[in-house]
Amino acid sequence: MTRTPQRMRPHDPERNAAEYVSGELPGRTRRWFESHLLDCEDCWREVLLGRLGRRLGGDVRELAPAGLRDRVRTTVEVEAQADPSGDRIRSPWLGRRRRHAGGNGP
Amino acid sequence: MGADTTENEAFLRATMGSMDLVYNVARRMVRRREDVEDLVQETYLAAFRAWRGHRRPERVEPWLATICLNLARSRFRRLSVRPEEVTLGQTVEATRTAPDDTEREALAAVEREELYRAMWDLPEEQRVAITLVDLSGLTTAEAAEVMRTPRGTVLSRLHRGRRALAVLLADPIPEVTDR
Repeated sequence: MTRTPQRMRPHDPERNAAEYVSGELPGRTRRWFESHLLDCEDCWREVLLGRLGRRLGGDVRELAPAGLRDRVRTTVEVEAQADPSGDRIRSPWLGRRRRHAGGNGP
Repeated sequence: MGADTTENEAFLRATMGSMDLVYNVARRMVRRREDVEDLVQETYLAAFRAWRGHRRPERVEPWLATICLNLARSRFRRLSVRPEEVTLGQTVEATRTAPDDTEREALAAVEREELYRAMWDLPEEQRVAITLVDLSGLTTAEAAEVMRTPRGTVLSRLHRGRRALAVLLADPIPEVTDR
């Protein structure tokens, strides 16, 4: 009979499922949990939902626009030319929102 | 100038590979694309200033995510309620490649829009936990540092967010007998 690993106590389907679905349970604990799943309806259900939700959450991943990479590079290069101890040259890009917001931007 | 150039290049080399991560974090914090891009730029600018001040991170991704989240909360908060300007029709048009693909891509666009809406419907802390772990690949321990909260809290928020997405968007899950 497999003893319950110390770090799995107390039984917490939500937390256990989150760790398992994230791939963060270490070997012995993971093996115990996988065995436990066969008997525990609550944990099994939470793992199914967690897996599905993880996949859906990952599906909204996007690539940053190429133009943004260029603008960020330019912003950093302009900043690099500023005097680090004195007035910094404002990035030409950072003024955009303030103009759009009528001067009320952050 | 020479020292600045070296510093500048070292910073860009170290951080530009994480641009997609920062962009995705920003996309989950503010809605309009122009605000998202401003947030990304401000994140990199703040990170570069810290870098010049010799505050170098052990791991770049959690460091940039932290800066982005802090900026979003302190300076971009009010922008998070502004509606996104991109319409579903624009999304479909932008991704269309061939007439035969139109229906499939339109369906995919609808599903993607539903997913975006579902993500925005989540409480912010759940949305951030999913963004950091499932979208950005941070560990839950790293996400806990970024969110300045115990790891157990992150696990709870993460799981509740995942469960909400699954319940909102998916077909009924299989019966437990299908094991």
